[in-house]
Amino acid sequence: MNDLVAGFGTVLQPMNLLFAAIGVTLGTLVGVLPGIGPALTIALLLPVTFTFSDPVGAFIMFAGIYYGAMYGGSTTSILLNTPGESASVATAMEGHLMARRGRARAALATAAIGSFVAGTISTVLLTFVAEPVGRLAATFQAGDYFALTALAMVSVTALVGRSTVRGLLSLSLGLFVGLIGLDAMTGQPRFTFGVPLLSDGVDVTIVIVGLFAIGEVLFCAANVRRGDDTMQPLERSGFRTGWLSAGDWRRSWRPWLRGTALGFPFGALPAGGAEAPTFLSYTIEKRLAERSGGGEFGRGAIEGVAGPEAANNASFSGVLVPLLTLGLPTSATAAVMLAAFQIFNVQPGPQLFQTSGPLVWALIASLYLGNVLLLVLNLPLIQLWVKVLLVPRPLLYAGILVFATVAVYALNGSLFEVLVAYAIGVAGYFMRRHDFPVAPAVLGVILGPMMETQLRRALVVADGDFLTVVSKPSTAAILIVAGASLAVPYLPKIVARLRRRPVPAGRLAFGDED
Amino acid sequence: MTARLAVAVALVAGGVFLLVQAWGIPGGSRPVPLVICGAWVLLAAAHLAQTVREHGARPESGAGREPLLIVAVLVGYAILLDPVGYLVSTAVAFLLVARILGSRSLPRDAVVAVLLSAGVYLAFTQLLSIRLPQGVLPL
Repeated sequence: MNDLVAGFGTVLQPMNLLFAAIGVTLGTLVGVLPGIGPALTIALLLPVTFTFSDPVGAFIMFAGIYYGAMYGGSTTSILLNTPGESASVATAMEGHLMARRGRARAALATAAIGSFVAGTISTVLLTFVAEPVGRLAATFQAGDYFALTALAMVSVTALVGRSTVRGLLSLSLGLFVGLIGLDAMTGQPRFTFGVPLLSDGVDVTIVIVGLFAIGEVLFCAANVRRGDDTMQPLERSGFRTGWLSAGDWRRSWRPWLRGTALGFPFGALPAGGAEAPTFLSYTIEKRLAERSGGGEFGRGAIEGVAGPEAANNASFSGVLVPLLTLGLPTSATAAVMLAAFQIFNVQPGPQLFQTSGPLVWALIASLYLGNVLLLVLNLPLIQLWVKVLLVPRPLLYAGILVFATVAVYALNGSLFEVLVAYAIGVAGYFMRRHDFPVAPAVLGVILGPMMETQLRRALVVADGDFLTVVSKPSTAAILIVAGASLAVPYLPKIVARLRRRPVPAGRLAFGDED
Repeated sequence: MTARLAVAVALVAGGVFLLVQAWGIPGGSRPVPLVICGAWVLLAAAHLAQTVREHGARPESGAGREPLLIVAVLVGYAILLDPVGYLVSTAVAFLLVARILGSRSLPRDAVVAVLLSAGVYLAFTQLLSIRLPQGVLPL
């Protein structure tokens, strides 16, 4: 507790408050652009933090950027129906319908206040959970880490997209990209094809900018001639009236809490991802509304915005648990956060709370602060953010390409890396066009090298015997869960067959896009 | 051959090529690449079989040539960034991409292009102290 108070002491210094405010503003500004999610926002804004000599200020800004990006993303999803990442797809469904019925302000408000509630509760949970989990993590051995990385990759792959085969192919593409460069243990070059510039490997930031920014723009370019999506206007209203009516509050608060209850544990499990909890929350709210007679689902139900948006936000604080305590990123956003940590030579893991205690507690305190600032700055400024959406599409996409290029170039001043990012963008374009989910590829790039290192470390201990490694009870248990998660999308079919009922068509899917 | 089938075939071919490459890696660095590339080949084969089976069942959307044109502009941009300099190459690349994407108001685009590249240049070089290529402009 004292640590957290000290963290607040750091964060509430005027300079750091300013950083948090800049972060929230920049994050919202970039996040509100159509098709740009929080992961890409952080990746594009990484260069901004290069000037920081002290990581505390940088991380405070990141927390602000993250919350801003999240809020900006939900604004776009609701007004334009162009979710920037699959975790906002559930929000977009009912939210956009609400906007089309002239209830955009209520949808935006329930998303923002729901994010605030979920963010605050789940940050409190993070405060209490992080250290005990860190102590538990300290007992994990290399074999367990190997199994955990496998679990994180496989479960996300199983849960996103419409086809397990395409998801796994996408994952192996990412794993392959992670192999490029010098082998960390022997210094042996792998898949560098004689290009010395490839020996450092491909930075995950480059992969994210390539897949999410360049791939997305190319994909939109392919569809540019086919009609334009039109923005739903905000209904006119006074400065503070017309947000949430008493009825809206009454219908929103339970979905907020239920969404939080789903989001945090799902995020905290190293099976991660925000897709599953947001879609679960959507489904639960829909079922509950149907049970209590009708409900507005399909016509713009406020519950369908409140629940998923809260789940989305809560799952981020949850994802910080494996990220901070195990050094294990389980979402694209967490992967970029890890890249940011590494820029400042901070290595998340069981030792983080001992080695960088003040930094971690400052980060957690800045999450509280980011949440508050978001509500204070963004809800009143919504008219301004909506203006960003009025930028003509050709200029917007051209601008995203300019920013993506300069963000990659700024990393190392290397034009070769810019070309690599473009090449990855082309791959991302084909993945989008042919229904390959993008998230597994990102996780493969970031988790693949970790998985290999831990596996080989475990093998050294076990005298090179793979069976010894995987037969350790804890390792075996995690690996079995990973294998079982591949069957989850087919559960409805399996259950139906066991009960001798008609087999439903298709498979369960959480989020069709990246 | 449809685009979807072509992608499926290319995935198998790419996987086999990488598997052969992985085979050539010496020593302890070899097993993991072999497993990953092996898995790729198996999955790509399964995907190809699926694609052939579903052939024609799922509608396929055609794409215009905009993506190809944009990639061409981007590659030119990356190559010319250093010799020509950040300001000029960025402004030109921005204009071309906006035009490919269907913008037809040249004066407006030109103003935005110049302001944007100048803004990014100043922000990066002055505020963030990150060097960007100066090129032909005497700054």
